[in-house]
Amino acid sequence: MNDGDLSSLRRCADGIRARVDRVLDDLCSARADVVRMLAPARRPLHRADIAQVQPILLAVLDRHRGFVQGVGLALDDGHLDDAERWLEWWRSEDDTPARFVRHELDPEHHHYYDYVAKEWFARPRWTGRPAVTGPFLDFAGTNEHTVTLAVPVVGDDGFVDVLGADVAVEGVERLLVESLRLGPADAVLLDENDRVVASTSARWWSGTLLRRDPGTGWSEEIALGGDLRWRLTAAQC
Amino acid sequence: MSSFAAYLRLDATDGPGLPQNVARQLETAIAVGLLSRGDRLPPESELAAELGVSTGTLRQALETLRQRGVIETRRGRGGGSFVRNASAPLSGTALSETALKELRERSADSLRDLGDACAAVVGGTAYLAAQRAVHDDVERLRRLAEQFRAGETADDRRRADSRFHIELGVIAHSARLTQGIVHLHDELASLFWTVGGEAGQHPVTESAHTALIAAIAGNDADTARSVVMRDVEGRVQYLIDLHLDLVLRGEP
Repeated sequence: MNDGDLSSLRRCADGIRARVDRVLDDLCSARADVVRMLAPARRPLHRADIAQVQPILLAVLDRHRGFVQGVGLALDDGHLDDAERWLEWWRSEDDTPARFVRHELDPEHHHYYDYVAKEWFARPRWTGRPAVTGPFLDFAGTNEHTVTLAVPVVGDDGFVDVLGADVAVEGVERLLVESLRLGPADAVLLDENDRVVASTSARWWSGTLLRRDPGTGWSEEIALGGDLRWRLTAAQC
Repeated sequence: MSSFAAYLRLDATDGPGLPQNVARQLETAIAVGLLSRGDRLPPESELAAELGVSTGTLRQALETLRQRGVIETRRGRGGGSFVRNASAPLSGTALSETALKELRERSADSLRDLGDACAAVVGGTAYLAAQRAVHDDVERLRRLAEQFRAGETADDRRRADSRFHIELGVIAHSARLTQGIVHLHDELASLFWTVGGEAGQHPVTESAHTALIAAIAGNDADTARSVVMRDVEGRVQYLIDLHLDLVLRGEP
Protein backbone atom coordinates (compact mmCIF):
# COMPACT_ATOMS: atom_id res chain seq x y z
CA MET A 1 0.00 0.00 0.00
CA ASN A 2 1.42 3.40 -0.93
CA ASP A 3 1.63 6.42 1.37
CA GLY A 4 -1.25 8.12 -0.43
CA ASP A 5 -3.59 5.22 0.23
CA LEU A 6 -2.51 4.99 3.84
CA SER A 7 -3.12 8.67 4.42
CA SER A 8 -6.52 8.49 2.77
CA LEU A 9 -7.30 5.56 5.09
CA ARG A 10 -6.21 7.75 8.02
CA ARG A 11 -8.38 10.64 6.85
CA CYS A 12 -11.35 8.29 6.63
CA ALA A 13 -10.71 6.95 10.14
CA ASP A 14 -10.48 10.54 11.42
CA GLY A 15 -13.72 11.40 9.64
CA ILE A 16 -15.66 8.55 11.24
CA ARG A 17 -14.13 9.31 14.63
CA ALA A 18 -15.10 13.00 14.27
CA ARG A 19 -18.70 12.14 13.32
CA VAL A 20 -19.07 9.83 16.32
CA ASP A 21 -17.38 12.35 18.63
CA ARG A 22 -19.81 15.07 17.56
CA VAL A 23 -22.69 12.88 18.73
CA LEU A 24 -20.93 11.89 21.96
CA ASP A 25 -20.06 15.55 22.71
CA ASP A 26 -23.66 16.49 22.10
CA LEU A 27 -24.84 13.69 24.42
CA CYS A 28 -22.47 15.09 27.07
CA SER A 29 -23.98 18.56 26.84
CA ALA A 30 -27.49 17.07 26.77
CA ARG A 31 -26.54 15.15 29.91
CA ALA A 32 -25.76 18.43 31.68
CA ASP A 33 -29.16 19.78 30.57
CA VAL A 34 -30.90 16.65 31.86
CA VAL A 35 -29.20 16.90 35.25
CA ARG A 36 -30.08 20.60 35.47
CA MET A 37 -33.69 19.99 34.50
CA LEU A 38 -34.19 17.18 37.00
CA ALA A 39 -32.37 18.94 39.88
CA PRO A 40 -35.43 20.76 41.29
CA ALA A 41 -37.71 17.67 41.04
CA ARG A 42 -38.62 16.04 44.33
CA ARG A 43 -36.93 12.67 45.05
CA PRO A 44 -37.67 9.86 44.42
CA LEU A 45 -38.24 10.68 40.75
CA HIS A 46 -41.34 9.63 38.81
CA ARG A 47 -41.97 8.91 35.15
CA ALA A 48 -43.72 12.27 34.86
CA ASP A 49 -40.46 14.00 35.87
CA ILE A 50 -38.57 12.09 33.20
CA ALA A 51 -41.10 13.07 30.53
CA GLN A 52 -39.84 16.66 30.91
CA VAL A 53 -36.51 15.80 29.28
CA GLN A 54 -38.23 15.04 25.97
CA PRO A 55 -37.28 18.42 24.35
CA ILE A 56 -33.62 17.81 25.21
CA LEU A 57 -33.74 14.37 23.55
CA LEU A 58 -35.56 15.66 20.48
CA ALA A 59 -33.03 18.47 20.06
CA VAL A 60 -30.18 15.94 19.91
CA LEU A 61 -32.16 13.84 17.44
CA ASP A 62 -32.76 16.93 15.33
CA ARG A 63 -29.13 18.02 15.26
CA HIS A 64 -27.98 14.60 14.02
CA ARG A 65 -30.74 13.80 11.58
CA GLY A 66 -29.55 11.47 8.84
CA PHE A 67 -27.04 9.79 11.13
CA VAL A 68 -28.85 9.17 14.44
CA GLN A 69 -32.31 7.52 14.40
CA GLY A 70 -33.08 7.31 18.09
CA VAL A 71 -32.15 9.17 21.29
CA GLY A 72 -33.21 8.33 24.79
CA LEU A 73 -32.62 8.17 28.50
CA ALA A 74 -32.43 4.70 30.08
CA LEU A 75 -33.14 4.77 33.80
CA ASP A 76 -31.08 2.83 36.29
CA ASP A 77 -32.70 -0.13 38.07
CA GLY A 78 -34.93 1.23 40.84
CA HIS A 79 -34.24 4.90 40.09
CA LEU A 80 -37.92 5.75 39.62
CA ASP A 81 -40.60 5.44 42.25
CA ASP A 82 -43.42 4.39 39.92
CA ALA A 83 -41.55 1.97 37.62
CA GLU A 84 -38.73 -0.48 38.25
CA ARG A 85 -37.19 0.46 34.89
CA TRP A 86 -37.95 3.02 32.24
CA LEU A 87 -36.79 3.93 28.75
CA GLU A 88 -37.66 7.45 27.67
CA TRP A 89 -36.71 6.79 24.06
CA TRP A 90 -37.60 8.76 20.96
CA ARG A 91 -37.10 7.79 17.37
CA SER A 92 -37.30 9.43 13.99
CA GLU A 93 -36.39 8.04 10.61
CA ASP A 94 -36.15 9.88 7.31
CA ASP A 95 -37.54 13.24 8.39
CA THR A 96 -40.65 11.73 10.00
CA PRO A 97 -41.75 13.44 13.23
CA ALA A 98 -40.14 11.89 16.31
CA ARG A 99 -42.24 9.35 18.19
CA PHE A 100 -42.01 7.68 21.56
CA VAL A 101 -40.73 4.10 21.42
CA ARG A 102 -42.61 1.72 23.66
CA HIS A 103 -40.40 -1.08 24.98
CA GLU A 104 -41.56 -4.24 26.70
CA LEU A 105 -40.16 -3.91 30.23
CA ASP A 106 -42.09 -6.70 31.95
CA PRO A 107 -39.64 -9.54 32.76
CA GLU A 108 -42.43 -12.12 32.38
CA HIS A 109 -42.84 -11.03 28.82
CA HIS A 110 -41.67 -12.99 25.83
CA HIS A 111 -40.13 -9.96 24.18
CA TYR A 112 -38.84 -8.37 27.34
CA TYR A 113 -36.19 -5.77 26.61
CA ASP A 114 -33.69 -6.40 29.41
CA TYR A 115 -31.73 -3.23 28.69
CA VAL A 116 -29.88 -3.17 32.01
CA ALA A 117 -28.10 -6.37 30.94
CA LYS A 118 -27.24 -5.00 27.48
CA GLU A 119 -23.71 -3.89 26.84
CA TRP A 120 -24.73 -0.44 25.58
CA PHE A 121 -26.23 0.28 29.01
CA ALA A 122 -23.97 -1.77 31.26
CA ARG A 123 -20.61 -0.53 29.98
CA PRO A 124 -21.09 3.23 30.42
CA ARG A 125 -22.99 2.43 33.64
CA TRP A 126 -19.99 0.59 35.14
CA THR A 127 -17.03 2.39 33.60
CA GLY A 128 -18.45 5.88 34.03
CA ARG A 129 -17.17 6.64 30.50
CA PRO A 130 -18.82 7.18 27.13
CA ALA A 131 -19.15 3.94 25.18
CA VAL A 132 -19.75 2.90 21.60
CA THR A 133 -21.37 -0.54 21.39
CA GLY A 134 -21.97 -2.64 18.33
CA PRO A 135 -22.77 -3.42 15.69
CA PHE A 136 -25.42 -5.64 17.28
CA LEU A 137 -28.91 -6.78 16.32
CA ASP A 138 -31.02 -4.95 18.87
CA PHE A 139 -33.90 -7.41 19.30
CA ALA A 140 -36.94 -5.83 21.01
CA GLY A 141 -35.13 -2.47 20.92
CA THR A 142 -34.56 -0.96 17.47
CA ASN A 143 -34.87 -4.45 15.91
CA GLU A 144 -32.15 -3.32 13.52
CA HIS A 145 -28.44 -3.75 13.03
CA THR A 146 -27.40 -0.98 15.34
CA VAL A 147 -24.51 0.88 16.92
CA THR A 148 -25.35 2.63 20.18
CA LEU A 149 -23.41 5.66 21.43
CA ALA A 150 -23.98 6.27 25.12
CA VAL A 151 -22.83 8.34 28.10
CA PRO A 152 -23.52 7.73 31.80
CA VAL A 153 -25.61 10.26 33.73
CA VAL A 154 -24.48 10.22 37.34
CA GLY A 155 -27.10 11.61 39.69
CA ASP A 156 -26.67 13.06 43.18
CA ASP A 157 -28.85 10.22 44.49
CA GLY A 158 -26.35 7.46 43.65
CA PHE A 159 -28.15 6.15 40.56
CA VAL A 160 -26.50 6.06 37.14
CA ASP A 161 -28.77 6.46 34.13
CA VAL A 162 -27.56 6.22 30.54
CA LEU A 163 -28.18 8.70 27.75
CA GLY A 164 -27.88 7.04 24.36
CA ALA A 165 -28.17 7.51 20.61
CA ASP A 166 -28.87 4.77 18.06
CA VAL A 167 -27.06 4.80 14.73
CA ALA A 168 -28.00 2.35 11.99
CA VAL A 169 -25.00 0.36 10.76
CA GLU A 170 -25.80 1.55 7.24
CA GLY A 171 -25.09 5.11 8.43
CA VAL A 172 -21.53 4.11 9.33
CA GLU A 173 -21.25 2.28 6.01
CA ARG A 174 -22.22 5.47 4.18
CA LEU A 175 -19.50 7.43 6.01
CA LEU A 176 -16.91 4.81 5.08
CA VAL A 177 -17.90 4.45 1.44
CA GLU A 178 -18.28 8.16 0.79
CA SER A 179 -14.98 9.15 2.36
CA LEU A 180 -13.07 6.38 0.57
CA ARG A 181 -14.60 6.79 -2.86
CA LEU A 182 -11.23 7.71 -4.29
CA GLY A 183 -9.04 5.77 -1.87
CA PRO A 184 -7.99 2.15 -1.43
CA ALA A 185 -10.72 -0.16 -2.74
CA ASP A 186 -10.75 -2.88 -0.12
CA ALA A 187 -11.02 -1.10 3.23
CA VAL A 188 -12.58 -2.88 6.19
CA LEU A 189 -13.80 -1.30 9.41
CA LEU A 190 -13.58 -3.80 12.30
CA ASP A 191 -14.94 -3.85 15.83
CA GLU A 192 -13.11 -5.20 18.89
CA ASN A 193 -14.18 -8.79 18.03
CA ASP A 194 -12.76 -8.60 14.50
CA ARG A 195 -16.34 -8.30 13.28
CA VAL A 196 -16.88 -6.27 10.12
CA VAL A 197 -18.75 -3.02 10.81
CA ALA A 198 -18.63 -1.97 7.16
CA SER A 199 -16.34 -2.46 4.19
CA THR A 200 -15.79 -1.15 0.69
CA SER A 201 -15.51 -4.65 -0.79
CA ALA A 202 -18.10 -7.34 -1.46
CA ARG A 203 -15.64 -9.83 0.03
CA TRP A 204 -16.33 -8.67 3.59
CA TRP A 205 -19.87 -8.29 4.85
CA SER A 206 -21.07 -6.27 7.81
CA GLY A 207 -21.91 -8.42 10.82
CA THR A 208 -19.59 -11.28 9.78
CA LEU A 209 -16.30 -12.14 11.45
CA LEU A 210 -13.25 -11.23 9.39
CA ARG A 211 -11.68 -14.25 7.76
CA ARG A 212 -8.01 -13.66 7.23
CA ASP A 213 -7.37 -15.77 4.16
CA PRO A 214 -3.70 -16.73 3.82
CA GLY A 215 -3.52 -15.18 0.35
CA THR A 216 -4.47 -11.67 1.49
CA GLY A 217 -2.03 -9.22 3.01
CA TRP A 218 -3.27 -6.39 5.19
CA SER A 219 -2.15 -2.82 5.66
CA GLU A 220 -1.31 -1.56 9.11
CA GLU A 221 -4.41 -1.19 11.26
CA ILE A 222 -5.49 2.32 12.10
CA ALA A 223 -7.17 2.52 15.50
CA LEU A 224 -9.98 5.07 15.42
CA GLY A 225 -9.22 5.92 19.05
CA GLY A 226 -11.22 7.91 21.56
CA ASP A 227 -14.21 5.92 22.77
CA LEU A 228 -14.20 3.76 19.63
CA ARG A 229 -12.61 0.34 19.82
CA TRP A 230 -12.79 0.07 16.05
CA ARG A 231 -9.91 -0.28 13.59
CA LEU A 232 -9.68 0.48 9.91
CA THR A 233 -7.52 -1.61 7.65
CA ALA A 234 -7.17 -2.34 3.93
CA ALA A 235 -6.46 -5.51 1.98
CA GLN A 236 -3.34 -5.46 -0.18
CA CYS A 237 -4.68 -6.54 -3.51
CA MET B 1 -43.18 1.35 17.79
CA SER B 2 -44.39 -1.20 20.34
CA SER B 3 -42.10 -4.17 20.30
CA PHE B 4 -45.03 -6.44 19.45
CA ALA B 5 -46.56 -4.27 16.73
CA ALA B 6 -43.29 -4.45 14.80
CA TYR B 7 -43.87 -8.17 14.44
CA LEU B 8 -47.46 -8.13 13.28
CA ARG B 9 -47.66 -8.78 9.61
CA LEU B 10 -50.60 -7.47 7.68
CA ASP B 11 -50.91 -8.96 4.23
CA ALA B 12 -53.25 -6.23 3.01
CA THR B 13 -53.65 -2.70 4.25
CA ASP B 14 -57.10 -2.22 2.81
CA GLY B 15 -60.21 -4.13 1.79
CA PRO B 16 -63.15 -5.86 3.43
CA GLY B 17 -61.12 -8.68 5.04
CA LEU B 18 -58.76 -6.31 6.80
CA PRO B 19 -60.47 -6.10 10.22
CA GLN B 20 -60.45 -9.93 10.40
CA ASN B 21 -56.82 -9.94 9.37
CA VAL B 22 -55.94 -7.42 12.09
CA ALA B 23 -57.95 -9.42 14.65
CA ARG B 24 -56.19 -12.63 13.65
CA GLN B 25 -52.75 -11.02 13.90
CA LEU B 26 -53.53 -9.61 17.35
CA GLU B 27 -54.75 -13.05 18.42
CA THR B 28 -51.50 -14.57 17.16
CA ALA B 29 -49.55 -11.93 19.09
CA ILE B 30 -51.35 -13.09 22.24
CA ALA B 31 -50.92 -16.79 21.43
CA VAL B 32 -47.18 -16.52 20.95
CA GLY B 33 -46.71 -14.35 24.01
CA LEU B 34 -45.97 -10.99 22.37
CA LEU B 35 -48.91 -9.81 24.46
CA SER B 36 -49.56 -11.43 27.81
CA ARG B 37 -52.80 -11.91 29.70
CA GLY B 38 -53.62 -8.73 31.57
CA ASP B 39 -51.59 -6.50 29.21
CA ARG B 40 -53.19 -3.25 28.26
CA LEU B 41 -53.25 -2.57 24.51
CA PRO B 42 -51.82 0.80 23.41
CA PRO B 43 -54.41 3.56 22.85
CA GLU B 44 -56.47 2.93 19.70
CA SER B 45 -55.06 5.85 17.71
CA GLU B 46 -51.50 4.82 18.54
CA LEU B 47 -52.02 1.13 17.76
CA ALA B 48 -53.83 1.93 14.50
CA ALA B 49 -50.94 4.15 13.42
CA GLU B 50 -48.39 1.48 14.29
CA LEU B 51 -50.28 -1.13 12.32
CA GLY B 52 -50.85 1.28 9.45
CA VAL B 53 -54.64 0.85 9.48
CA SER B 54 -57.46 3.32 10.13
CA THR B 55 -58.93 3.59 13.62
CA GLY B 56 -62.24 2.40 12.14
CA THR B 57 -60.62 -0.84 10.96
CA LEU B 58 -58.88 -1.31 14.29
CA ARG B 59 -62.15 -0.76 16.18
CA GLN B 60 -63.87 -3.44 14.11
CA ALA B 61 -60.98 -5.82 14.82
CA LEU B 62 -61.13 -5.08 18.55
CA GLU B 63 -64.90 -5.61 18.54
CA THR B 64 -64.38 -9.06 17.01
CA LEU B 65 -61.82 -9.87 19.72
CA ARG B 66 -64.19 -8.62 22.44
CA GLN B 67 -66.96 -10.88 21.14
CA ARG B 68 -64.60 -13.83 21.14
CA GLY B 69 -63.62 -13.03 24.73
CA VAL B 70 -59.98 -12.43 23.83
CA ILE B 71 -59.90 -8.88 25.17
CA GLU B 72 -62.05 -6.87 27.52
CA THR B 73 -62.60 -3.15 27.78
CA ARG B 74 -62.56 -1.40 31.12
CA ARG B 75 -63.93 2.11 31.51
CA GLY B 76 -62.77 5.02 33.59
CA ARG B 77 -59.39 5.92 35.03
CA GLY B 78 -56.80 3.29 34.17
CA GLY B 79 -59.25 1.91 31.62
CA GLY B 80 -58.62 0.69 28.10
CA SER B 81 -58.54 -2.63 26.24
CA PHE B 82 -56.88 -5.49 28.08
CA VAL B 83 -55.90 -8.99 27.07
CA ARG B 84 -58.40 -11.06 29.02
CA ASN B 85 -57.26 -12.68 32.17
CA ALA B 86 -58.67 -16.19 31.99
CA SER B 87 -58.83 -17.80 35.45
CA ALA B 88 -55.47 -19.39 36.04
CA PRO B 89 -56.33 -23.06 36.69
CA LEU B 90 -58.53 -23.23 33.58
CA SER B 91 -56.35 -21.26 31.19
CA GLY B 92 -53.94 -24.11 30.44
CA THR B 93 -56.72 -26.53 29.56
CA ALA B 94 -58.69 -23.93 27.61
CA LEU B 95 -55.55 -22.99 25.69
CA SER B 96 -54.76 -26.58 24.86
CA GLU B 97 -58.37 -27.25 23.81
CA THR B 98 -58.20 -24.31 21.41
CA ALA B 99 -54.85 -25.54 20.13
CA LEU B 100 -56.17 -29.10 19.66
CA LYS B 101 -59.13 -27.74 17.75
CA GLU B 102 -56.79 -25.69 15.59
CA LEU B 103 -54.55 -28.68 15.01
CA ARG B 104 -57.52 -30.80 13.99
CA GLU B 105 -58.69 -28.18 11.51
CA ARG B 106 -55.29 -27.81 9.90
CA SER B 107 -54.02 -30.25 7.31
CA ALA B 108 -50.95 -32.45 7.43
CA ASP B 109 -49.85 -30.62 4.30
CA SER B 110 -50.01 -27.20 5.98
CA LEU B 111 -48.10 -28.54 9.01
CA ARG B 112 -45.42 -29.93 6.73
CA ASP B 113 -45.33 -26.59 4.92
CA LEU B 114 -44.90 -24.68 8.20
CA GLY B 115 -42.18 -27.14 9.19
CA ASP B 116 -40.35 -26.66 5.87
CA ALA B 117 -40.28 -22.88 6.29
CA CYS B 118 -39.19 -23.23 9.90
CA ALA B 119 -36.44 -25.73 9.13
CA ALA B 120 -35.12 -23.54 6.30
CA VAL B 121 -35.26 -20.23 8.19
CA VAL B 122 -34.14 -21.37 11.64
CA GLY B 123 -31.68 -23.89 10.19
CA GLY B 124 -30.18 -21.30 7.84
CA THR B 125 -29.95 -18.82 10.68
CA ALA B 126 -28.17 -21.40 12.85
CA TYR B 127 -25.71 -21.95 10.00
CA LEU B 128 -24.90 -18.21 9.85
CA ALA B 129 -24.86 -17.89 13.64
CA ALA B 130 -22.22 -20.62 13.87
CA GLN B 131 -20.01 -18.65 11.48
CA ARG B 132 -20.53 -15.34 13.24
CA ALA B 133 -20.61 -16.18 16.95
CA VAL B 134 -18.02 -14.91 19.40
CA HIS B 135 -17.59 -16.03 23.01
CA ASP B 136 -20.19 -13.64 24.48
CA ASP B 137 -22.81 -14.83 21.98
CA VAL B 138 -22.35 -18.44 23.05
CA GLU B 139 -22.61 -17.42 26.71
CA ARG B 140 -25.95 -15.68 26.06
CA LEU B 141 -27.21 -18.77 24.29
CA ARG B 142 -26.17 -20.94 27.25
CA ARG B 143 -28.08 -18.67 29.66
CA LEU B 144 -31.20 -18.94 27.49
CA ALA B 145 -30.91 -22.75 27.39
CA GLU B 146 -30.59 -22.63 31.18
CA GLN B 147 -33.86 -20.66 31.34
CA PHE B 148 -35.52 -23.40 29.33
CA ARG B 149 -34.26 -26.06 31.75
CA ALA B 150 -35.47 -23.98 34.70
CA GLY B 151 -38.94 -23.55 33.19
CA GLU B 152 -41.65 -24.98 35.42
CA THR B 153 -44.65 -24.98 33.10
CA ALA B 154 -45.22 -25.76 29.43
CA ASP B 155 -45.82 -22.04 28.95
CA ASP B 156 -42.43 -21.17 30.51
CA ARG B 157 -40.73 -23.68 28.24
CA ARG B 158 -42.54 -22.49 25.13
CA ARG B 159 -41.39 -18.93 25.74
CA ALA B 160 -37.85 -19.93 26.66
CA ASP B 161 -37.59 -22.16 23.59
CA SER B 162 -38.73 -19.35 21.29
CA ARG B 163 -36.40 -16.85 22.94
CA PHE B 164 -33.52 -19.32 22.52
CA HIS B 165 -34.20 -19.61 18.79
CA ILE B 166 -34.72 -15.86 18.32
CA GLU B 167 -31.21 -15.39 19.74
CA LEU B 168 -29.84 -17.26 16.71
CA GLY B 169 -31.02 -14.35 14.54
CA VAL B 170 -29.39 -11.90 16.95
CA ILE B 171 -26.10 -13.84 16.78
CA ALA B 172 -26.30 -13.91 12.97
CA HIS B 173 -26.75 -10.08 13.04
CA SER B 174 -29.75 -10.54 10.73
CA ALA B 175 -32.83 -8.39 11.28
CA ARG B 176 -35.06 -10.15 8.75
CA LEU B 177 -34.17 -13.63 9.91
CA THR B 178 -34.86 -12.60 13.50
CA GLN B 179 -38.25 -11.36 12.43
CA GLY B 180 -38.83 -14.53 10.40
CA ILE B 181 -38.04 -16.71 13.41
CA VAL B 182 -40.45 -14.72 15.56
CA HIS B 183 -43.23 -15.59 13.13
CA LEU B 184 -42.40 -19.09 11.99
CA HIS B 185 -40.84 -20.61 15.05
CA ASP B 186 -43.43 -19.09 17.35
CA GLU B 187 -46.26 -20.46 15.25
CA LEU B 188 -44.76 -23.94 15.34
CA ALA B 189 -43.69 -23.72 18.97
CA SER B 190 -47.00 -22.35 20.24
CA LEU B 191 -48.80 -25.24 18.59
CA PHE B 192 -46.24 -27.78 19.71
CA TRP B 193 -45.99 -26.82 23.36
CA THR B 194 -49.71 -26.18 23.88
CA VAL B 195 -50.95 -29.49 22.50
CA GLY B 196 -48.73 -31.36 24.93
CA GLY B 197 -45.65 -31.82 22.77
CA GLU B 198 -43.54 -31.19 25.81
CA ALA B 199 -44.47 -34.43 27.56
CA GLY B 200 -42.16 -36.58 25.48
CA GLN B 201 -40.16 -33.91 23.68
CA HIS B 202 -38.98 -31.73 26.54
CA PRO B 203 -35.73 -33.73 27.06
CA VAL B 204 -35.32 -33.99 23.28
CA THR B 205 -35.46 -30.20 23.02
CA GLU B 206 -32.96 -29.90 25.86
CA SER B 207 -30.46 -32.10 24.09
CA ALA B 208 -31.11 -30.29 20.78
CA HIS B 209 -30.27 -27.00 22.56
CA THR B 210 -27.07 -28.55 23.95
CA ALA B 211 -26.02 -29.94 20.57
CA LEU B 212 -26.74 -26.61 18.87
CA ILE B 213 -24.72 -24.65 21.44
CA ALA B 214 -21.79 -27.03 20.95
CA ALA B 215 -21.95 -26.63 17.17
CA ILE B 216 -22.12 -22.83 17.42
CA ALA B 217 -19.31 -22.69 19.98
CA GLY B 218 -17.21 -24.79 17.59
CA ASN B 219 -18.14 -22.62 14.59
CA ASP B 220 -19.52 -25.77 12.95
CA ALA B 221 -22.15 -24.29 10.61
CA ASP B 222 -23.24 -27.54 8.92
CA THR B 223 -23.86 -29.33 12.20
CA ALA B 224 -25.71 -26.32 13.63
CA ARG B 225 -28.06 -26.33 10.67
CA SER B 226 -28.71 -30.06 10.68
CA VAL B 227 -29.35 -30.11 14.45
CA VAL B 228 -32.07 -27.49 13.97
CA MET B 229 -33.54 -29.20 10.92
CA ARG B 230 -33.78 -32.54 12.70
CA ASP B 231 -35.37 -30.91 15.74
CA VAL B 232 -38.00 -29.17 13.59
CA GLU B 233 -38.63 -32.45 11.75
CA GLY B 234 -39.31 -34.19 15.06
CA ARG B 235 -41.84 -31.56 16.03
CA VAL B 236 -43.62 -31.67 12.70
CA GLN B 237 -43.75 -35.47 12.93
CA TYR B 238 -45.36 -35.20 16.36
CA LEU B 239 -47.90 -32.61 15.19
CA ILE B 240 -48.88 -34.53 12.05
CA ASP B 241 -49.29 -37.72 14.10
CA LEU B 242 -51.55 -35.91 16.53
CA HIS B 243 -53.47 -34.21 13.73
CA LEU B 244 -54.16 -37.54 12.02
CA ASP B 245 -55.23 -39.10 15.30
CA LEU B 246 -57.69 -36.26 15.84
CA VAL B 247 -59.09 -36.51 12.33
CA LEU B 248 -59.16 -40.29 11.88
CA ARG B 249 -60.05 -41.43 15.37
CA GLY B 250 -61.82 -38.38 16.73
CA GLU B 251 -59.77 -38.19 19.94
CA PRO B 252 -56.04 -38.50 20.47
